[in-house]
Amino acid sequence: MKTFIFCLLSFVAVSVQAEDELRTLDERTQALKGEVQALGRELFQLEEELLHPSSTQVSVFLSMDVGTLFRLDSVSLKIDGKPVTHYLYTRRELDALRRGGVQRLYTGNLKQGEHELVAVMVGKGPHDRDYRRAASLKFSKSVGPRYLELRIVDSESRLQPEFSLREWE
Amino acid sequence: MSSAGRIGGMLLAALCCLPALPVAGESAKAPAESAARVANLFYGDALFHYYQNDPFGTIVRILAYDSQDRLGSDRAEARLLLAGTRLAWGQTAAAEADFRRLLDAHALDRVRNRAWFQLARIAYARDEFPRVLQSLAHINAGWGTSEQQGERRLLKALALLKSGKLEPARETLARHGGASLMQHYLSYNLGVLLARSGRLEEAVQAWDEAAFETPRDAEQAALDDLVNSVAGHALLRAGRDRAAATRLARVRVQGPYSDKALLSYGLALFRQDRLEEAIGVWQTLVARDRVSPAVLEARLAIPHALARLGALGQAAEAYQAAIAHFDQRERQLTALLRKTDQDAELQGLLKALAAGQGEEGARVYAPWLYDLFAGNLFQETLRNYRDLQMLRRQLLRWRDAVEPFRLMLAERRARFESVLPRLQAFRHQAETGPLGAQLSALQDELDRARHEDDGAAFADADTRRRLQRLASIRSRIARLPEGPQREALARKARVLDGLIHWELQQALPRRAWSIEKSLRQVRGDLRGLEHGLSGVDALVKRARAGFEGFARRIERVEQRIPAQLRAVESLLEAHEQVLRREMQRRLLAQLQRLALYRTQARYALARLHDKAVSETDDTPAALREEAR
Repeated sequence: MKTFIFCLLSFVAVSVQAEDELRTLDERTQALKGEVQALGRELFQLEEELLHPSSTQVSVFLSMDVGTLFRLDSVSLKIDGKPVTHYLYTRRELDALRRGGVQRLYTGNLKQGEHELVAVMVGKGPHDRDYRRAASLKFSKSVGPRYLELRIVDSESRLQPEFSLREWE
Repeated sequence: MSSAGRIGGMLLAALCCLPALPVAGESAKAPAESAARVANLFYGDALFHYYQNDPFGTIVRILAYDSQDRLGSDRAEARLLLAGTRLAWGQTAAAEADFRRLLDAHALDRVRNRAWFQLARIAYARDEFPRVLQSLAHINAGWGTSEQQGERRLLKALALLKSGKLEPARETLARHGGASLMQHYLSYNLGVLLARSGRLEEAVQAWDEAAFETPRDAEQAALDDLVNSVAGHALLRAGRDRAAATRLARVRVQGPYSDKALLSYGLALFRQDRLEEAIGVWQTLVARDRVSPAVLEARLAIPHALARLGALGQAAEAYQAAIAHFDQRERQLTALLRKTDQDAELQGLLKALAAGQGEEGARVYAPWLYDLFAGNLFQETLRNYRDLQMLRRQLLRWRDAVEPFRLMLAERRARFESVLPRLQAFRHQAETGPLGAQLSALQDELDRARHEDDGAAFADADTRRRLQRLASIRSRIARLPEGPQREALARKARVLDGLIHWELQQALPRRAWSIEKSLRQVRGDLRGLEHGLSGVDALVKRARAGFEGFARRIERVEQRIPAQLRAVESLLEAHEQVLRREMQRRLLAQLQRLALYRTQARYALARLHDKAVSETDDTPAALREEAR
């Protein structure tokens, strides 16, 4: 009887040798993760500088404040009358936006001068009604990159979503 | 596992039960609060990826945006997010370095407090308990929400417990207040340490505080099971069978601790001579048809109790059934061991586990390797394995993405070079060398004329025509015969000549200044042209250097990708080898365990036969012993 209870109370632990090996592997894995991240950063910057040099770069960001009055399905962007992107949102992306994430929706190239951005948002508004709204912004592109923000805000007073576009310095 | 190791595991389990902290402090707070705090678009972009459970994308963005100086006023928040995400992604060393960088004198208090808290957690995970306490001591007393303050005290109490400072830990625990799950975990851990130091009565008291009268949810019920199981086994070891039975009977039959609890519950009853009850408990266990040691040992315990009851025939049958069962399990286990030698089989198993398919993916192995799969180290290793697979996919994508970069650069370069001949032609036309020489000659001439008072040098077209005409007249006068008429005409010509030169001398300063101004103007224009042309040259040079720079960066990246791919492959293989060895070691240990059980069963069966024979045989005992 003593024998089997002894067996019961003993566990088969990870062997010391395996534990040491796994610790070493963990350290190597950690170091490699850092190296791949550094490479990722280099590629991220290389791609941006190569495809969208700062002299011509224009980025449009999308942010959402609360987002209870409007459930975004899609956004379409036109610059100077030309469609540049059409984006459909997943539940996970909407959740990320509601929690404070800001989506870098579009990055492209424009010549210096005056331009116009038109954003069309499609989704469900209050009382689950189909909702389609547009916002536009005239902006000037100079030598440096230009950042624009499309904001979707719940207006508590009007109980309606509000859409606005603004330029960032 | 040693008792110390087991207790360590339990404490770690308790820490793991801390409500999950957002990886960068409060960044995963309520949406409205977070949305209001994000002031920087690029930090917001990193958060967008973080909230989608994309740690790699989050880290890469923060690294890139930080080096591009784009994070503005959210820089410290972003760096906290970076450190926290790295910590959550298993990069403890990098995360620690990141948090330490946030501790400079200029950092805001809220940033420093959060960094110190994370450093305390890192130190705890490394069993560096004095450093846990030191780090916690740096945090401002009033920092954080009530939840964060509770977490801080829990961490402190755990660190004190693990440092063997039971009384300070108890005081910290007492100050904790409330009846949160954390406090119950602390009481449980306190009980474990008290029992370890031989203070069983106090341990039981702590476990009483840890248990819930009526568990309200699965988490409370699981903690209750853990408390009752650990308390029951501690009491059983101390020989307090009645109290042990009471505790063990409270462990839920469907919980993860039930196999061992049932076996020990049966033992506690057995020791109290409640044999039939013990057999009933063990039969419940055997009916589960599992391969856990507790279930296998119950197969031996039942005939042992039956023999004690005097039911020798039933006991013998039960031993024979146990032996047959062990044989069958041994065959299964041997076949499984062979399968682990196959690479594809092992990779399939690890992929399934890494993909979160759990027991379904490892259906055949899970019964034998449940403890291994559930262990912290295995889970950490599995996470690394999964992360490495993700890195491999990422690197393969990058490998394919770099070639278009190269093509794009080549095309852009070719387009630029195609424009250059036209630029060179214009450059040639606008060459400033000859113009400069002419300008210098004119300046020399002007200086000479001024120096020699040579008014004729500044004659305009009309004056030059008059001078030419006068020269012609004087030459004709010279050809006249000598006489008073020639003399009179020559005098008139000299007067006219003197008049013209007098006019020229009068106009010299004005005309010299006018020419000087014109020359300066031309010289200025020439300099402007030279500057413009040299600007074009610099532009061409800069553009070429830019292309070269991009080409070098692409080349560097291209060289790093295969090197990192090789490193990932090598690490994946190394993980597979270590895990294979560990799995096989455990399976072999179970084979040995089965062999031991079978030997015990055969020995017990032989003794039963002896006993049966001795009860019917009148051969003297001494002879029977000799025959044996």
